[in-house]
Amino acid sequence: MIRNGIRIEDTFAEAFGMKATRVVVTAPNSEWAHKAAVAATGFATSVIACGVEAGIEAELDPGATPDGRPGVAMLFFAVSSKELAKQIERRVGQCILTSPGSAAFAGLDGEPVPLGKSLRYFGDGYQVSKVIGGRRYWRIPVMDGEFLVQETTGMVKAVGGGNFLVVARSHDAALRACERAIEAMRRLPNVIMPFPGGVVRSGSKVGSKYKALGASTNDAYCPTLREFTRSALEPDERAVLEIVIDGLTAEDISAAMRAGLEAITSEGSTAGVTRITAGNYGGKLGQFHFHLHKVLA
Amino acid sequence: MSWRLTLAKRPPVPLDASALTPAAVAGLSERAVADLFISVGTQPSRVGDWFRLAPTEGDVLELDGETGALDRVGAGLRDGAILVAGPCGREAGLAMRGGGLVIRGAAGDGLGMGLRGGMIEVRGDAGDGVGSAALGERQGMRGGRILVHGKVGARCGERMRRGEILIAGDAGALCGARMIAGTLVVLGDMGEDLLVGMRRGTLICARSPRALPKGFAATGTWTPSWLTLLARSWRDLPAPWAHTAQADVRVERAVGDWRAGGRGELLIWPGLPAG
Repeated sequence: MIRNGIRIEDTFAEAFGMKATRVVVTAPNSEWAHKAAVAATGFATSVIACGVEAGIEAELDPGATPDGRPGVAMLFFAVSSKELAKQIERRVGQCILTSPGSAAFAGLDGEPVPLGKSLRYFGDGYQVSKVIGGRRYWRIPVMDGEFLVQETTGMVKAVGGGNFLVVARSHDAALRACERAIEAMRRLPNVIMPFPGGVVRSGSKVGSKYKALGASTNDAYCPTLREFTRSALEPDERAVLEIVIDGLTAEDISAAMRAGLEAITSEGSTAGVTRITAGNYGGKLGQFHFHLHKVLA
Repeated sequence: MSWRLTLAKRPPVPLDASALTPAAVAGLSERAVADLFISVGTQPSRVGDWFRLAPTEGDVLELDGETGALDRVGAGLRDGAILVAGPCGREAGLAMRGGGLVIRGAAGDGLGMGLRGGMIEVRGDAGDGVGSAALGERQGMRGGRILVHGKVGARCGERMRRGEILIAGDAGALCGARMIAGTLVVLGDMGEDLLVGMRRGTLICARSPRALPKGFAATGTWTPSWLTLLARSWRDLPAPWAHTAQADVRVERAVGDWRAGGRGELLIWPGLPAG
């Protein structure tokens, strides 16, 4: 398949089942809500070493938040319920509880995951609960007043690891194409692109020459290894960047991939992108396959 | 289909209506409903001996006629809805666990005593002990919501443990006395011995009491964001609650009663609608 001179390879992205939740943080103004959300979703690019993949899903107007203040919706993805609960407790406790004027609320209905349930003990006995509209909230006294936090948030089954690779004639061309794609994808709900700026340069393959490592650099797509390895790059292809997508459903990931691919192909090959491909493990590891041609159909 | 039960004649002593629930009459024939057991004072009797029966559309059990002679309307109700067309007697909604009870007139003493869930709405006034502890119990209501459009008597919310009481009018003496937790809101004036012995929980009022209750200390002005959540949870309620300002949640706060631990709070919230 060729779109505006850019080849879309007949391959698929392989993704995995995950557990996810949404947390809404609010603050006296959008700037402080954003600061709290950036902290809470920091160091959360990959479950391999971060425990969780997280990102900012959307900025929320006061009318869209539970307490009528500016807010930010964040999505968190983990490989198990237990790990998700651990990460939520740590990140809300260290990054949102600590942020001036903040409050934290559940953003999803589903299997309950503790949000303020354990954090309340920070109140040292001075914490109080309020049940409002059938939901329990904790009011934890802090130095600027009270930290209001909902007792639990909801956890749902989700999908992590949707992806596509942008292959270009230059690093600049690959980066600008990915920026366009991310801008389009961030308008969609229920998805996050957890890597820095939504883009990852260190795509990996399964296995390594070092026994201790389960994954290592994707040498087939490294332009500097063209002469040393079985390269997947054409002679004029000098940079590859990847976009990884986590979503609440397979449909959400598919929609985000479509938006990203269309943003790239709409500029045409004159912008320097030669082709788009996707990362998979032969289809044997992940339950979800996103075929690029089907996504764009 | 449900039933409208009209109390055609006033019994010599109050009639215990706790057996009359939507679940008890659901699917029954007129004869079967008429044969249901009720007690008049200590004497056993039949529904058919006192009530005229008429089938109605919908699921709401309607009580009509001399309803002021009905005690314990909706007691122990778990689901479904009861509508009382006029006033009712003592202990309406006693230990209710769910469902809804609407009383178009006034309610007697003991409204919602020991309430655990569901919602009670009284369009008129209510007597003493709204949401307080049922006889033999140590704690007052433990859940649910009581809404009174008029004024209430003494001991409103006494020893309440959880849930919400919303009073649009005045409240009598000992309002919120020995409160353990929960939320009590009063739009009108409040009587003597306000919040005496309060341990935890929140009393929110639209007007400042004549004096700060004994054992309470003012802690200044505060903007608690949870009040916005509370106001939003009232959006589906009738006026005046639905019109509570959600943006301006500045309150004057006092805490007490120090003689009982001092963890309770009194919030004076001018953003509340006037009582």
